[in-house]
Amino acid sequence: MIVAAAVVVIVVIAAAAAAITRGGGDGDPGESIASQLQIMGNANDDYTIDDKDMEIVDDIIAGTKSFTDYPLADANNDGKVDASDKQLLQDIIDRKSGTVLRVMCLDTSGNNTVVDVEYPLRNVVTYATNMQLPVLYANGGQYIVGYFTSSYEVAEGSINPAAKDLEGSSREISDASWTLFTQLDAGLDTGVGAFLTDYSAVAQITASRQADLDAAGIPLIIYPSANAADEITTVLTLGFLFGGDCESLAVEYAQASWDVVNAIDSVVGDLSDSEKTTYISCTMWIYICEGDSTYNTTATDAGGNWYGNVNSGFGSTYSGDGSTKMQSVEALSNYQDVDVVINNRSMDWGLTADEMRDLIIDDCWEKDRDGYAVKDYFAGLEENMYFVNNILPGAVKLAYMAHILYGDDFSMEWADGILQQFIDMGTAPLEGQTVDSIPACIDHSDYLDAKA
Amino acid sequence: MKAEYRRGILLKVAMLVFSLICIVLFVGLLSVSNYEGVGLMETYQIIWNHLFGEPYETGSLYWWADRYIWNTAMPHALAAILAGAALAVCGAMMQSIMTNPLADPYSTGISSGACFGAISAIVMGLSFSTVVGEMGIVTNAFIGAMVPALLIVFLSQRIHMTPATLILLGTAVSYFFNSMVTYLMVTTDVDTLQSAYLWQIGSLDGMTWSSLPFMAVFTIAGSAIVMLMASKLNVMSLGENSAVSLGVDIQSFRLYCLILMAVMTAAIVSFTGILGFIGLVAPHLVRLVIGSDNRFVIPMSMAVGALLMLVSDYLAFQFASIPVGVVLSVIGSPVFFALIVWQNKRTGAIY
Repeated sequence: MIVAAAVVVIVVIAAAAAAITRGGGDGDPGESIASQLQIMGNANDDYTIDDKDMEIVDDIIAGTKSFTDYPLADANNDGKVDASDKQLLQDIIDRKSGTVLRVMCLDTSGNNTVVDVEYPLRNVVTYATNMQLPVLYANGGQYIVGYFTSSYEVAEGSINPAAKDLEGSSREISDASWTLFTQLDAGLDTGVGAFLTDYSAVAQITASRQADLDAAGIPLIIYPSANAADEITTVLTLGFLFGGDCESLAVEYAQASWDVVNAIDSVVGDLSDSEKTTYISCTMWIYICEGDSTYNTTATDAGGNWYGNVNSGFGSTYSGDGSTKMQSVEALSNYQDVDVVINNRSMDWGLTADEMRDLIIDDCWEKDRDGYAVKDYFAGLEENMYFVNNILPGAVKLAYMAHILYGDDFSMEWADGILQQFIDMGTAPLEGQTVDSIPACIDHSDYLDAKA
Repeated sequence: MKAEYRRGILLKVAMLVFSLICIVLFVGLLSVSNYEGVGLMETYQIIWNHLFGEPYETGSLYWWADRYIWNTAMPHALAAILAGAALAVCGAMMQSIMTNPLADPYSTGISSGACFGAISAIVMGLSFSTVVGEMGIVTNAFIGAMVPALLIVFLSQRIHMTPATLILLGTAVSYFFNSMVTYLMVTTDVDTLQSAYLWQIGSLDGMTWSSLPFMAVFTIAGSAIVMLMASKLNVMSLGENSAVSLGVDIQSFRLYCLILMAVMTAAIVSFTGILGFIGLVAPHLVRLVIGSDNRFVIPMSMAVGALLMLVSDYLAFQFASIPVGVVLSVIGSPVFFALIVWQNKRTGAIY
């Protein structure tokens, strides 16, 4: 009798979980999104906070569900689920202004943490392209009040024109830039709402700067958004925090992104390592990405097998999480049996045909690097080398990488279609663009065509 | 005679007061230079309020300015004062015990030893101690700086040490460590090379309150000891024969002075990198005005050294935040050149 009851309970819970995460045909846009919205109160761990979360909280308070099964039900992050969580959750569901949300993110050491953020999030300051672009993809550029660097005139054109340039660089926030930041905070009636940065840039948040933010009550939100899959989460969470149209756009963005992830996984998910296409990632033209770099993580998410896994010499030479500059044009000469080389480049868009041709020739294949053209460093691998635009939405990058790795399964037209889908979505950085105006994926045939 | 003595005292007091006023002024300027909207007098007001007044409203301009001044500007300025004072004292002491106007705290190879220690930590991650990270570099630099001093102590038991011997030994040690540093730097990547090079130049950037106690203890205690030895240093300045005839055990005294100077200098450069010219120029500037009596030269050199460092640091910040070591070299060499020419023209001697 007891066993039978237990079986029934398990089946019911499993069915409910499946309905939540896989969809029950009720038309919700993000049913395939699982465990993505990084906000406490998202009890069912889906793409939004709504009445379904409240039902779980009610059940936990009533004792019919266990808190340990739904840790995100603790909306106020005080270690227990009670009436105060219910009150806060209702405010979140009502999208009540002034509500303090507990947002999950990383701390400067890379550990999970929770920071308090007032809803809706306004007056943000962004640092690092890998965080700035997700803000813009969530159409949050209007809420940026300060930024440390902006390198892409068109892609980052939706940054609020009134936002203050804090005069940092992609590599450094100087003391003078930090002072400008503090003056910006002092000059705003409600102060800076949050400081947003990508984890790869976290070295610039020194202990004293962290102390400044803590003392001023400015939440520091860090996500590892250089990784394509994590960027999806970042956009979804930021969209929710900005609220209104940003939230609905971010849900659509995340849904489309996870559809791409699922499409790739359905083809390559069951492949063994030996069946997978091997790749080497590069960045900044001639820097070889090391094993644990986020560029490799993205290529692996697209179904590739890092070449270091099949060539131990390459694996040991390029271990680590950074990148190593090629010291000569011979650097890859011993690794000619790799299937593809994915060269990650950050390239602005809005290009005419002539500008595109110049970019392909002068800024990609024939770019001078230490007295040699880039193509010289990839001698023998030209046919298998592809430039992928690093500032595209994460899912679009994954789509082009899937095409590069498994061209028979994922055609260029399919990848272009994904890009078109994101253009049509209405995300600000891609507004007014076409597939032809964006340098998304450049291969050797593009180079030969441009030269001809 | 009495009037001349009185004028001499007045000159010393005036120079000391002038230096102290300028130090206060430049501490304020350093604090305010990074903060638009906060004036010089407001800076002093903020400092006063931080010590004795009410806290400002969180997030307000004065609240941020207060944080900046106390967390960044003040440790920076105090480090400049300590570094300038310590190096100037060491310079004055070295010039006296070596009877050589060109001697400075780095004459015995301390800077190259510190360089090797720090750069081996930066380039190879090699630590002489169990301390790692930023403090690992500091520890390495301190230990590296002490190597030449220990070598001199070791050799002094075996050979007769004259000032010339000491300086030649320092030169030999410097060549050795410099070659090792060069090897490390040419075999590393660009980013590490830049870090190593910047350390060599010398900078006060990134100074925090936690850096100061170590520097302060050695500077204050060391300077006090040097001041107590001022009369003996005066005797040493007269030359070896005179000092011996006046009962000074020159070998032992010189050795004690070298060890003291090595510890004081190492305590500074291990945090700041190599800050040149202060130890050379500050004592000469002081002697130019008040003469060579070390009872006055030592404390005055501390004040002038601190002031020179603050001025250089202020200029370094004004000129696109370049490291202070660059400014010290730029202004130190012509100032020193002018001093030599002027002094030579006036008295026929440079010391």
